[in-house]
Amino acid sequence: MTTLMARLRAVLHHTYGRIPLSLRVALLISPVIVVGQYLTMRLLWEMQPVSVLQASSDFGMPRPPPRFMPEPGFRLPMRDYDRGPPVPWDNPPPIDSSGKKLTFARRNFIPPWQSLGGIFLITTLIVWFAAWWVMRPLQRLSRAAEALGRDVGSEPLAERGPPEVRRAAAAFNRMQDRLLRFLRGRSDALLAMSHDLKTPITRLQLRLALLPEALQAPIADDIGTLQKRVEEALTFMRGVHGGEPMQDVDVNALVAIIVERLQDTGADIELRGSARTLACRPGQLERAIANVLENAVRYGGSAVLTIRDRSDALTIRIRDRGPGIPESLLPRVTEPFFRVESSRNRDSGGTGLGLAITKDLVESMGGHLLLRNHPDGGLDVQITVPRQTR
Amino acid sequence: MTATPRPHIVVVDDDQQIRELLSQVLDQYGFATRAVADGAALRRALAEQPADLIVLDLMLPGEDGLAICRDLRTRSNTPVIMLTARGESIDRIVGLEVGADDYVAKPFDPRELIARIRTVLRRASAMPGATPTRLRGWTFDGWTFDAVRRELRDPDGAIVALSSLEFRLLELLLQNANQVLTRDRIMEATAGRPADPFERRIDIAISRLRARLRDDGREPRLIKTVRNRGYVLTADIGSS
Repeated sequence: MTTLMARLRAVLHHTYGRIPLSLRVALLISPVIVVGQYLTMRLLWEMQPVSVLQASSDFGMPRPPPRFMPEPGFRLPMRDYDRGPPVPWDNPPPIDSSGKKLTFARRNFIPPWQSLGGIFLITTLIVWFAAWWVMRPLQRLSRAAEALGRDVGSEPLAERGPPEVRRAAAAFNRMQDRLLRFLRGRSDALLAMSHDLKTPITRLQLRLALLPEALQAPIADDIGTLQKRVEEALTFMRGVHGGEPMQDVDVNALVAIIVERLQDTGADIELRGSARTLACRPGQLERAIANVLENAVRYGGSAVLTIRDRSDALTIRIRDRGPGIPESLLPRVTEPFFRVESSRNRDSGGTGLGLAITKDLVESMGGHLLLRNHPDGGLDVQITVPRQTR
Repeated sequence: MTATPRPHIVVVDDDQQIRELLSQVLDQYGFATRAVADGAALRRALAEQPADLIVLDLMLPGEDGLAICRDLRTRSNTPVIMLTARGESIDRIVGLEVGADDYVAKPFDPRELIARIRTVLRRASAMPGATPTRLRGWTFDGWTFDAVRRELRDPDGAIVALSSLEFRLLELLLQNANQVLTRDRIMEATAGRPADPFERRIDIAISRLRARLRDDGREPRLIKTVRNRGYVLTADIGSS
């Protein structure tokens, strides 16, 4: 029984979550309005005096005898027309100065269920429209925030409308401005840092070339590693907002280049499948695939890359025959600087940025990165990039 | 026995240690080197004695590398190789448009720099005295090859990726379109040395290039094999 209740609650919660704000406002206000109207009518009409003559004519009763006079202190009974005609004349009603007998009664004007429902529906619709109209600036704000997320340099919001909306738009624009200045400052700093780091490494390379051959190899390895780390860290910090334009790309050629480059150094990679031209950022796609494939070869020995082309998206799947990644660590593997220590050859360590960079790259193209351990062993990585629908 | 004269290289870099180290390395590989710190010193050095090649750092204080290169081009055809710490593709394009012959990103493997110096010198000596007009690109059979941007586009306008070897190979084939190129010639132009008898690199590169151009490997239309001689790109070429 409790699971039924829990499920019911979940369904209700889910349904409630999907009701737009303007409709919630309407559903809240309409009953208040309708009930308010109803009560007002009830009270008003209850206060409406009806003469005995009128009451008896309403009910088609014979005229009451004129001798009925109110007792002092007589309390006026409330007649409820709905319950039928007033009890004839045992509770004598008072008489006003003009001689007409008075009784307080509710006029027979209580809206029946059907019209109450109709009024409620119309009121809800009107209030819903009004609320939606009032809340359009909120939609504008959310659209602007989304555009900002894709491109920091998007158009600033027009600061118009009621004071609260103008304040919100102004605050939003100031935030965008600060973001832009921060990013610009950071890329200037990165440029300077890049120059500062690359110059000593260049000197090291030159000194290395002047050493006797026998001494060169181990130092060359370390310098190569140092260089790679610097490149990776700078790439990661520079972020993927490199402004590479979207282009139509021959995916087969792009993938083939990456595969062949690794095969030339002896890697065992099988390439399957093909795809039509894809609109994407070729530099970013190339880096994403290369990162994953290099990992697969380094940790998994051999790899199979399958290209699957669908009408709405392109999927590239890279499967290796390595140990995979422990299930508990799998969700963390795309965190920057996170390294899977245990499964790794000590000599082939990395900064832990490769997958973080890959995830950024893929997501900036609107796609997503999926990692899982294949049931038959090895890691299974899937890069999905959506096709633009024009 | 007369020794072949050592090629004269001038290095321009603002870092004193890089100047010294680069001079030593180039000297070790058989180049006579002078090193200067800025544009003014470069002009003085060239006035004293012309150079066979200039290695120019892009990021210099004061007059920057691009301006120096542009100025240099108004007066001579001395080949220029640019060095830079930035490595952004836009720098590459601008550098080549300004008249540089090649571009190496710091930090670099000195051997790569040496190989490129040799290639550029070989190219320059192959056309002595001629103005090495660097063609921007070619069109062939609906395909577009932009040598400056290093982009190949198929007849539908989609970008087709090429490895750097494949780029050089295609560029070479287009520069010598409809003429047969021997494997030795190809090797010299791409790797700076003649082919070993068992060298497969060129053949593999050709077959990959054919795949990129979607040219049938068995009945190729664009890149044809000429038995016992080499390869040739046959197509109507348009240049830009």
